[in-house]
Parts: sequence; C-alpha cells; structure tokens
Amino acid sequence: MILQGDITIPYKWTTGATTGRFLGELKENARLVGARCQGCGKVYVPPPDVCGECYKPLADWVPLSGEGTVIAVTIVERPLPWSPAVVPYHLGLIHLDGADTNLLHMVAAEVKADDRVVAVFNVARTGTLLDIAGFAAIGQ
Amino acid sequence: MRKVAIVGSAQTAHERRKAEQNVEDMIFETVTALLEQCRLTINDVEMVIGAGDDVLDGRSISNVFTAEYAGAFLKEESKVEDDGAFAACYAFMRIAAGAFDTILVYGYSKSSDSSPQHYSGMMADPFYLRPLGVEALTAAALQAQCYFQKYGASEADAAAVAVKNRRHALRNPFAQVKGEYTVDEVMRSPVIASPIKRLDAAPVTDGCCAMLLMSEEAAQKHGLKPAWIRGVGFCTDSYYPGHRDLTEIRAAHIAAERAYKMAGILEPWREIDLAEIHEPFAFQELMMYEALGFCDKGKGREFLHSGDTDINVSGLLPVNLSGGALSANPIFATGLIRLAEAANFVTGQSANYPFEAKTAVAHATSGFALQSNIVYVIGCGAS
Amino acid sequence: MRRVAIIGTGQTKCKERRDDLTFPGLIYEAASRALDDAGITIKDIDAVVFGSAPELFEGVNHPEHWCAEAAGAWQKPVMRIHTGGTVGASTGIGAFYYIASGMFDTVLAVTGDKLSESPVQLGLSTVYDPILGRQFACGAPSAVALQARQYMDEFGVTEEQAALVAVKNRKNALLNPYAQLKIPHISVEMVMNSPVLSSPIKLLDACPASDGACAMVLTGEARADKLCPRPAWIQAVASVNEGVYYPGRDFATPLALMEAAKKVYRVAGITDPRRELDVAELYEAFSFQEMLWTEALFFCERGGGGKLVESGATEMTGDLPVNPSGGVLSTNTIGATAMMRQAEAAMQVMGRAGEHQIDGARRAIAHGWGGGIQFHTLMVVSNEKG
Repeated sequence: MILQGDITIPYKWTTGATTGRFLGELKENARLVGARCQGCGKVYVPPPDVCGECYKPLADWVPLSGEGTVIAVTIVERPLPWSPAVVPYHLGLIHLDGADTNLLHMVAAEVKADDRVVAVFNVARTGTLLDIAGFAAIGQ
Repeated sequence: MRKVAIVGSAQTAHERRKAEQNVEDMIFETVTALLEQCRLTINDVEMVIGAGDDVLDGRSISNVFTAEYAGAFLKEESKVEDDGAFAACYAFMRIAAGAFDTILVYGYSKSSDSSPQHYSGMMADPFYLRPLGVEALTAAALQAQCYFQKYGASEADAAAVAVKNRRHALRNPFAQVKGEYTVDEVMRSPVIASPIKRLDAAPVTDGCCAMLLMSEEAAQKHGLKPAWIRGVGFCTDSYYPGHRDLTEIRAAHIAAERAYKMAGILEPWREIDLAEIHEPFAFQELMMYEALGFCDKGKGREFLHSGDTDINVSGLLPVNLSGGALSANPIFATGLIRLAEAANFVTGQSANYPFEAKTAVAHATSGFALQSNIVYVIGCGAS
Repeated sequence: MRRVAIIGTGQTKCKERRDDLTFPGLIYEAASRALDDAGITIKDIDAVVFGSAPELFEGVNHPEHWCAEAAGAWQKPVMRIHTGGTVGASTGIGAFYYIASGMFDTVLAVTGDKLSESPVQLGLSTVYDPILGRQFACGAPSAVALQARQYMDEFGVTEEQAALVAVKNRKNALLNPYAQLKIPHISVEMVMNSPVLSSPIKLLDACPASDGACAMVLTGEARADKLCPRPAWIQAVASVNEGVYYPGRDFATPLALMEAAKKVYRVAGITDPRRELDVAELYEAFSFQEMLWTEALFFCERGGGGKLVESGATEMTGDLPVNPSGGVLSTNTIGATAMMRQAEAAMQVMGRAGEHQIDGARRAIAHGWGGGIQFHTLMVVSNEKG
C-alpha cells in the first residue's frame, strides 16, 4: 500500500553581514561586488562567510563592472519545481572581471564559452540573486 | 593502529522501485542475509552505524526507526548522514582504536518513495544556488563542460564509460541497469543538462548494502576471510562549485594520497589491480582516473581507450566490474557498495567475475561536482 | 587505546534568533572560538567532524558541505554525524575515535543548528513516522509528556519537584554568559503557574529554542601535554540506542542510558558515581527528565530523583552539582546541545568555567539524549589522565 504525503516548511534564512551586503548591493545599487580575503587576497564572487583557505571572514569589498567571460554553459532540460525559468534555460559559469572565482547564473541563449557578457538587472529588485535577470552577450 | 578487515557484505537486488518493501524491510533483509552468510547472530555484533538520509526518507532522525531493524537494540549505535562508505570509515576508526571488534554498517535509500531530485536540489544553499535551481545534475553538467573544454575529452568518451560499466554489470546479479549498450545509444538518449544525457547518469534506485567490519582477532575467531583496509583517506573542498577548479577533483586527489600513504602505495597504476569508482555521471569516472593517479591529469580519456579499465579488453586495471553507480544507485549505499565489491574481489568471493585482486581501490563521493570524497585501499595481505 | 583530551571549547552567544549570522556563520563563530581557546589555528587541525540535527531545520541537505569552509574543513577530511538530539555528543565522540584510532592527531568537532530559520516544532513533528504517528504529531513536548506522566505515576515524583529542577537550572544560568534564557526571579510558583504545554509539562518546565553552535578541539596525548596545561582527558564514551516499538517499553526506565552508564563507569573505573563524579551536565530538555536521568545514572535509587533535587545535592553547592551551566532548560540549539554538555563538563575539569565553576571539579560526566526518546550518550572527562 502507499500512504501519500508531503512536508511543507516555510523558511526565513538569515543572510548575515557578508551575503546580506552582496544581495543588498544587487538590490540597492544594481551592481555586483566581490569580497576580498584579507589573508590570501582572493576576490570571491559570490562571497561565502569565510575564506576556507585562510579561515577568515570576508568583509573587504571590491566593486565590479558586472562584465566577465563565460567559462562554461549548460542547457538545463530537467526542471525542479523551483527552477528560475522554463526549461530549457541556459546556466553559465561566469568569470567576472576582477574576481578570482566563478559565478553561476543564467546566460542568454546565444551565449557560449569564452563570450564576453554583462549582468542585466531587473528593474524591480528584492535582494535576491535573481535581481540579476541573467547575463547577456556584449558587443554585437 | 589495529588492523581492520571487511569480512562480509550483503546487498539487496537494486531496483527502480521496491513496491513491496519499506526501508525497514530492506534493511532487515540485508542485515539478516549478511549475518547468515557469515554464520553469525546479531549478538556477535557490538555496534551498528547507519547511513541514510532524512529527506529521502521523509522522516527526520530516521535512524530512530531504522536502527532497531539493523539490530541495534541496546547496542552502541551512531549514524553518518553521508554515503555508507563514510560510515564504514567511522567503523574502521572505532575498531582500529581497539574499542570494538565487530561493527555492522548499513547504507540505504528508497528514492522511489521520495524524489532524489528534490534531495539533490535541497543541497543548494538558499542564497546563491537554490534561486538558480542548481542540483547535482546541473553542477556536474558545468563540471563536464569545463573538463571537456580544457582537456579535449568528449561526450563520446563519457558515453564509452557508460557502455563499459553497464556491460560489466551484465554479470552482477544485483545491478539494475545493465546491457550491451552502444556509444551511439548513449549519445542519442535525451539530454537532461548538456552535455549530460539520460544514459550518462546514474539511475534512480531502491536498495541497501550492509557490511561487517572486524578486528583481526574477531575475524580469526569467526573464521571469516578478511579484506584488510590497508589505507583510507577522505577530504572535502569548497562548497560553491564556482569557488573550485572544476577541471580536477582536488579533494579526491588528497583523499587518495592519504590512503596511498597509509597503505604504502607508491605507484598506484602499477600496484592497484582493480578499482570501484563512485561515478554519479559517466564523465566523472574519467576525472577519477586522474585523481586516483591511474594516469596524468587530462589523460582520463586516453586511459579509458587503452582498454585497461575494461575486463573485455586488456583489463589490466578493471574499473567498476560491478557496473558502478551507473548500473545501480541507491544513494547513501552507492559508495558502500563500491567498497563491498572491491572487498569481494580481494577475498575472491565476487559473484560477478572470477577476477582476483591483491590490491583494490574503492571510492565514494557526495556533494555537488564531487565536493567530498573518500578513498580506500583494500588488500588481501597485511599492510 | 591512545589517550585523547579536549584542549579547547567554543560556544556562540545563543539567542532565540541570531539575525546577524547565517548558519555557516554560526558554525564559524563557535569553531574559531574553540581554536582560540586551544591556542592553535586551523592549520593545526587534521580533520573535522560536523554535527547538526535534522536538515529540515535549516532546509539545506548535507549542511557539512554548505558549511565546509566555515567548519574549517576546506581541503580536509570531514564527515557529518546526525543522531538527532544526541548529535552534539555523537560528534564529540566521533572526534574521540578519530584520534584514538591513530588516524588523526588534532581534530575540530563542530555542531550547531539555527532553529529560528523554520518553525522548529514543525520540523520536529517530521520525526514521527509518517505511517505510524505523523497524524497526531505535535512536536517534542507531547511525546515527552507521556514519559513524564509514566515516570510520575510509577514513582510518585511530583510536578513541584520538577519545578525545583527548572528553578535550580535557571538560577545557574544567571552565572553562564552563554546561556540564553535568564529569569532572575524564577520560583516554583512561577513554574507551576506557567501555561500547560502538554500535561504535566508546563512552559517553564521546557527548554527554549535557540540559534547557536558549539565546537571543541581534541588532540592526542603528546600534543595535549605540549599545548594545554590542564586538558580534559576523556576517560570513557558511550552512545547507546534502544528501540521505539519493543514490547513492554517503559519510558520511565531509560534502558539505553543505564546501559551506557554501566559501560562508562566500567571503563573509567567508577564504582560509586555519586562520590566519584564532581559535576554532571545532563540533557534535560524538560525539567522532570533531570530527575529521571539522575536515577538512570545511579546517582540515587530508582524513584529517588525527586528527593535528590529536594535535598539540594544537585545544586552548585551540593555534593554532585547537576547542570551548573543552566543546562538545556536555559539553551537548546538541538544540534549543539549535547556537545555543550561535553564542553561544559570539560570546562569544569579544566578550571575554565568562570562564574559557574565548581571548586575542585576533577571528574565530570556529560550526557546527551535524543531520537525517539531512546538515544543516550555519555562522556566522562577528568583532569587526570588515568
């Protein structure tokens, strides 16, 4: 026999200072910022709470242009109930200028690896990663 | 450190859906089979360590209910909420310390009762990955793109892994997905996140694996043939996939180095006779060849095409004779099965192939794009 | 077996909601404090053990992956232990075996939960089996109320005696800077008059829900001798399970705890726990449980838990103080709670407990409780290697 059921739990996730600053910049200023580790100097985008290597909190901010180079793209064909777009959507790994890490975000359909892209912000922003609508190709 | 042996293991038949059994039934069946096979009773077991997942079970602190079915009533008990291969390492440490002689480990999941995709998607943090709908599949797809671009490996190379493992699985009575697939068939299967196609991915599986670990004295006392754990290492890496170099599996490399050091292995490609690799996606087996030191960085595809990892070609270092995760993937047991299969080849008790390995490697992983890894060296001789 | 010692502990400030930190941030706060307390850095750590309770509390699976950097596990070995309420202790015990085995020398064990991220009793209700119980699940108090009722009926222990525990531990909490719930003028009347949650348990008989984390640094004998003038040597550990559905189950007879107690006393060479232990940190999520646990730990005879608390023996000035930290009744993060018992026991024998230090504490016991009322853990620590 089968007993049907589901579990629904509402969450309110605390962003903390580091993630809060990063998401706040998206919302308030429509800009991407990175956090530089005061130990190794690496610029993280998006910033975790702690640099794993140096074991120090990240709090030194670096403004970024929002432009970067695409490292890789996957076309997602299998959705989750909370997928941000209708499949197929294009998920990219983007190396932002001035960053030492890569950011995952959606990219426009025509974008391929090695292409130059720029973040496109939504007009109405709420302080989430999806305040960036995605990354569009530069220079055509 | 005391010597520790794997003295036996049992598995369920791995299936897409076990409609007639709940998780407790699966665990009880597997543990009972294991005890019978080793001619032991549950009273011979001092401790039980489980590995499973609350979210897949739809039940928090699930070992509240599963522990009794694994025989843990009024025994020492613990649970590692990770692949059973990590739980086995915890058992290893407790026996090596001299505190225990006999520990039972079990790993299981019944994905068909729940949704492994939800489980995987819930590994995403709320701020950076969940808004994008990232799950293990999409993280792996980006990893595949990075790896392919850097080293020139291709979708066809990954497909060849899928073909090899599922052909190996033909002789594994427990395997779920097996057969004479062709590279073309894999390539033509539906894309789920490019470049990963359905047949590049491990299936959804219901299943369980149980294993007994013993001290040397206990193994002798019970007359059980030991597969010695000569070395073990584990390691994790940055959580966010964009914070890592996705073209190499650094954590697996570090884990392997530690296991090899402990086992005194200097030249893995010469000294290791067989490997069982946990490959949630086919291309990851190529990356694991490199991390395990079977070939140089970026040479995974060449190593595959040498035929050394295929028992039907030269088979000098067969990988995943069991069929690997691509043939059966009961999450939380998948890695423990790799260890069980490797041990069976070492003791010459494999039901699959009459292949005897003096030294075997087993690997398990969890997390996005192989974040966390554990590597074992198993041998028939003492270290 | 190699000797293992605790050489540093760290706790976060616990609050009903820490709105300044993420869950990884909380983990980092505790872990970095434990490293500071031990006088070492992350570079000295060989491996990490991570513990947290149900992932539905924070809504992220494999929190050890999410928290890898924060837990100090970056490119290091880490494993997640999850045994529900006992997880904090199970994690500390895991670290003990990491070292006792000879695999690792210096290990960071870190645990925590951020219970305010979701409605905690909703998460706890998912502990009930979906087929045999979820239908009437209503969090932890109702399950434990059955235990309280059975215990009180069987042994004549009273609600007033339970209230004495609630008062004692809340007064102790006033001396602990990390305790969350501080009620300066708490009295038996206040407890008795507080609203009933699930009879006989009233609001002030129950623990709060906390956001918090706890960490410990453990190491082998050679490094402990070098790094720490007075480490807490771990003399014995145990984590014992019983069943949930076995016939004749009696909530008032915690078999698993009695089994665990016999084991750790045997290993530590303790024959008269009441005399040979100087402090106990017990997992009393609800006031009456402390009385039951003291019986199962053989501090007094069966049914004598009520009289024990009445006698004053378990007060800070008594012969066997129980929960000088304020206990679980003052702070309960679930994930870190059982490790806080171990850390507090260690702090007592290390002489680092500050205002709630018990003078001359040489040997202490730490207890953890959880699961479906059936998991129990124990750890005995001492200032002597023995």
